[in-house]
Amino acid sequence: MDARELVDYAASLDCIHCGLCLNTCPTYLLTGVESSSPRGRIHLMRSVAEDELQADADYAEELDFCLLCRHCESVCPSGVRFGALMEHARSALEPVRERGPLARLARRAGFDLVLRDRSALRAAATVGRVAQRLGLVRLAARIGGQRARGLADAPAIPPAAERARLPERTPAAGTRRSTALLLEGCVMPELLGATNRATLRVLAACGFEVHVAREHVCCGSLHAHNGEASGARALARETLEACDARSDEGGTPLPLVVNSAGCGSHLKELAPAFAGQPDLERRARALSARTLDLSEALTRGPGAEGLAALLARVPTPARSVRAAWDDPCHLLHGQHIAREPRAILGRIPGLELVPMELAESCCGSAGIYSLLRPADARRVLEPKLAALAASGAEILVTANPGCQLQWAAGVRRAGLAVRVLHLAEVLDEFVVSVARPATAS
Amino acid sequence: MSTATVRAPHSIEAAVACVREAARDGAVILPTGCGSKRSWANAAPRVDVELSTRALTGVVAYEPGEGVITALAGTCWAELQELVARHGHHLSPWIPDPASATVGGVVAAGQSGADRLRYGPLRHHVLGMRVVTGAGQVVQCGGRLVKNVTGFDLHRLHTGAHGTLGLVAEVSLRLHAAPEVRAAGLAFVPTRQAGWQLAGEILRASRLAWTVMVHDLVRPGQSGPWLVAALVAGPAPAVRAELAALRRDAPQLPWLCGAPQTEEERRAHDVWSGIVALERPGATWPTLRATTLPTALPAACDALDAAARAQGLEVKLVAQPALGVVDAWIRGLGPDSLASLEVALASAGARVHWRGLPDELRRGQDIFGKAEPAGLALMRRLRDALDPRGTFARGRLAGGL
Amino acid sequence: MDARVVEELRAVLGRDGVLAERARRTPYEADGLAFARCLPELVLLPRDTRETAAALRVLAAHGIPVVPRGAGTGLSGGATPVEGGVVIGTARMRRILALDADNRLARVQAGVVNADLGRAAARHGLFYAPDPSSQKACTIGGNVGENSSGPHGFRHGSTTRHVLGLVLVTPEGDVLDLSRPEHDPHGYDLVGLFVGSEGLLGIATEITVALLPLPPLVETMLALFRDLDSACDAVSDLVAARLEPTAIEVLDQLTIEAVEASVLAAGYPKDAAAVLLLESEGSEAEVASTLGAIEPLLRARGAFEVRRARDELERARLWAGRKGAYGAMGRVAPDLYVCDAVVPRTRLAEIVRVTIAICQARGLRVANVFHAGDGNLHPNIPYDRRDAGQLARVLEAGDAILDAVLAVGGSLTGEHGVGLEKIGAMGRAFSPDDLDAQCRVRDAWDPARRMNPGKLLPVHACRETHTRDPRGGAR
Repeated sequence: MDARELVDYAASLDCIHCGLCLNTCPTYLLTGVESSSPRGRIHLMRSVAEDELQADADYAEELDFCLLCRHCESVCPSGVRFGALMEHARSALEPVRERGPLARLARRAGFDLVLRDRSALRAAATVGRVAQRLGLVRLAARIGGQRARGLADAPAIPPAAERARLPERTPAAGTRRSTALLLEGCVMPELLGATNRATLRVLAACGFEVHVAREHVCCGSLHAHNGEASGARALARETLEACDARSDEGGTPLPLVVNSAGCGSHLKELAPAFAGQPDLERRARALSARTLDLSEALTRGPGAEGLAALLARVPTPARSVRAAWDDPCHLLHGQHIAREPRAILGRIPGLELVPMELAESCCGSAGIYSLLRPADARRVLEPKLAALAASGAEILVTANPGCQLQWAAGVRRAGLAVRVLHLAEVLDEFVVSVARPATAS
Repeated sequence: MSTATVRAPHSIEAAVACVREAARDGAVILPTGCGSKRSWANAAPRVDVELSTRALTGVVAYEPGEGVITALAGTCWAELQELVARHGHHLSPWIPDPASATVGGVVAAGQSGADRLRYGPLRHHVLGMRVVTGAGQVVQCGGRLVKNVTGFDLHRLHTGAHGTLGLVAEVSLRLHAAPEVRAAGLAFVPTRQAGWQLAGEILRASRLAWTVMVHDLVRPGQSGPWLVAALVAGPAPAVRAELAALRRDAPQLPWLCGAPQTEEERRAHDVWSGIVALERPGATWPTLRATTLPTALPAACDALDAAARAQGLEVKLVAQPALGVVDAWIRGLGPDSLASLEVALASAGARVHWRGLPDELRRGQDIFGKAEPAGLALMRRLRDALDPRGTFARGRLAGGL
Repeated sequence: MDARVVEELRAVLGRDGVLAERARRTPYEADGLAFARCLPELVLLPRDTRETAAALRVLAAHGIPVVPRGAGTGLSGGATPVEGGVVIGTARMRRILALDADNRLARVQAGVVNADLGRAAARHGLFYAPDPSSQKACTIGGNVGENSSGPHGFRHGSTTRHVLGLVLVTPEGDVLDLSRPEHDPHGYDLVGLFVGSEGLLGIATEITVALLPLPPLVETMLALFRDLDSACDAVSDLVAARLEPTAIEVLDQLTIEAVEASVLAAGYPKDAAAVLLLESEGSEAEVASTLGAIEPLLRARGAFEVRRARDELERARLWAGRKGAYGAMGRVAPDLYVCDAVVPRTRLAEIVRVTIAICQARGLRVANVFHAGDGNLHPNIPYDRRDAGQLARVLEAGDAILDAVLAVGGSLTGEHGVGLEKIGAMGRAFSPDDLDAQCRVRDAWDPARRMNPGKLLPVHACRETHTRDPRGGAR
């Protein structure tokens, strides 16, 4: 393979080597090693493209070590699109890189089978739950040694009842203000069904009629982040078809509400997956334009009005609870959303939003990173756990499934008396469930 | 020293000739200005030629729009002060004896002023210099620009080196805006503790203070009063606003301040000058300057008091709490009491520098204290590299440098 | 690199402290002066003074050259490795060892990031004054090495004014503790000499710095001009009037376009040929009187709009835009050559005109964004290093600018250092006797000349090292 094809060389030239990204990079902060920094990784990519460096195992390791949190993009004055560079470099390297037979099998099973097919996903969850209940996972983790340690850190899979799917259509509670399509997600129903149901209740309470594309499985963001470009393309196509098939009475495609920052960020940058196919590219751009994070859906247009009306019906409780917001990377750095969730949380009666240091840094979840590199993921979270403890918050609020699981595990390990909730769960608990019934007007 | 020849060259070229001649003859040179700070360094074991800068005078460059002045080493400090004041500039350090000090002497002795709290130590104002080395070369160090990082900052080595590394022949200094208004605040307090407290209140409320001092006006064994003196200067509206804040936060302190150029403003300035003059080492009372961290200063003063009392010495203190500096005027010193005061201060974490000791006490003493400065071996190597043949008199700084 | 040396170093630094793999060494081949490159034999990352000293002792025993490195944001090639040498990085020395609010000082490890120290100080109502534009990444150790400054250096001065003490490791690996509680050095001012010595005298591992109280009020003012000359003349007027704002910066149109196209867009007006960015701090009365005195002078020089930042948010954005200007130029071309020179403040407009003419004559674009109040110019020349002819013209323009600056009594560098970049011009700025004195000082500290050879001082012994930099050590 031509070395130049391993890297998006033209895009790598945007980096001017100023180094302003260094101090934002979780892996650089952990190690102090520049090849583990955004500037360093771009330098490596350029060196590979310029035939100065072999795309060897050390190079691959530096690509793998990156959390793809894109914090660096938020501070890059030169506008380097580091996330896209890294996705490109990983996927170009994937066909030529060496992996052990077991790792290769696990990868293919995960990306080509489980994440592509709802029944396989559900079957995997069932098997996983049984294995966890029987203690087989811990056993495997012990036998598997370093490489399998992620298994022990894997989140507990809830019982079948909690893994129920969302209904195809849910009417608005009270006046219907708008209609929206909710992305159910691939692993969300299996691991965080409660979050999905809370999202549904919140949207309905804010006047949304909510549709769910039950045939849809996965948006492909995990594939894209992990160098599985072809899988990502196929799933992008499926997503496009599923979403474009849903429209309102007037034939306008429904806005797509997403409660997973990682998926939202991916869906907002879907067009490059269809490069060279102008029609699909156009449709992808249109889908991106109507994709909304939950916090956006509730702070603009009819959603904002619905939330305001709902909040007006919430009595002020006697005691307030301190909550800290942790910016999911793919919300803050991927979608540049910082104000909306804070605005929502700040308006909930009885909730005191306290500042937390390092809120803008990665928690270490990073998609499936915490499963692939559990030790690194834990180290990335450490300083943030300290910041959480120092903030005095009783609730940690996030808006991404991976972050939720990562935080929950971290809080448990650290023995902190802090609940980890998704923004939707906070709204469900502190707003929807305590709001007075709407008076008929 | 009485046998030394005195040479007073009129130009840098003539100074170079003097140095080359001395170097050729193996003679040892002591650079001098007015001689007012000779006692700030140790007595040199041998001096053959006193190289005086008294004829090496004159302003080399002063463009008021640039805010930098360059003068030959022998130029009188007071003359420079007056020159730049005419163009609205202030020359830091503000020293008590400007008429008997030269530019070269101030820089070579590393003398900071009563405006240090506001403008920092002398070394912050020295932008560059020309130095005549022991080999008779003229070396440019730094430059005449307010900002410059080209090459090593050799001028930092010569500042405070008392001429042990070469003759400072020309100096460039950064100037500041002259204050529009000056205000003086004076108050008597019953205890030194109350003095520290009042000084702390002033320092917390003030951004424009040039100096805040706690003066000891009493004899040992007596109580009070202590004098707290503060000097504030700057643009008129800013000084007025600050005085309002000070009157609120430190109400015990009355202030003397009027509009620019009025009688009251001039009186405030006279008070200032009087206070600055208080810092001047007395002709008969040697001064001990002790420096430490500001928070450690009260304890150092107490230790100094106690040790002086035990020796039956008469001592008066002038402390600058924000800087961690105390000057003690002491009468009745002998060689033993020097050592015991040093020990007392060292145990309180303070470092000493004797100034104005009579020659008989200075000889055989290290006026910088017994403790070797860190990096002494390296300092010796640097001195030997810059003046390999020992043309300039040695043994005058800490550690025999 | 000899395997035994690697093993000895691993024994003192641990496996993580020695980077030997090519992929992990590669990013260290350049600092912010990206065109100068040389792959280091090893990269060493000690965690404290003791490890640094142990590593330097091993390197001294084997006669291996050493290049110290902070965050590698320097723009003069001060951290460009040398052939056969190793890099010692301070990136794992990131602890703030003590913050003494009562005495207004902090003791930090060399790898502490400038902005991190600022944040820690702010919790005590204090701040650390030197604010290089790279302050979010650059380290205090690197700032000490280069005697860095920044926009607020106009009022507060360069790093050297704020360093109270150092713990440093000599080239032979001896630890020298020059932390001092007293104000003035006893003996010679080794700390003052070390600051700005660009890594030639050893490695500072711990630094004691002075902190200042945060001002009660800070106001930022923008003045818009229709031409760069008038903006420069206005600066000369402010300096001559002895006004003392905390910062006086100039940004020209090309710079503003780049900044406004970036994530750092701050609302700089795109219709002005030049913008003056001024700041004043102090009490309300102090700020009001300073800015009140400044405005008429700006208007007299033709400022067509003078306004103040509305709030803290806008103020922060204006500064973020100014400080990201260098990086934002990456949108204009793949590479950027940043000149750094100081001229008398009475000659600003004249020299800025000359620098523009020099670039134009060589078919180069130039963006000017600089610390005008200090006379510290930064002509930024965008280029593409893959075009050898263009790079040669850029370097030629850089040299011509330095000549013009020296001709009016200016200096080669105000804050970036001489490094590799300007070593060829040292002979034009200093006489042989001046340079001889500097060489003597270096030889007294580092007789073997192993520390950062080929930088700062053009001495014969440095000439055997070379890099792929076209202007490299061969000069």
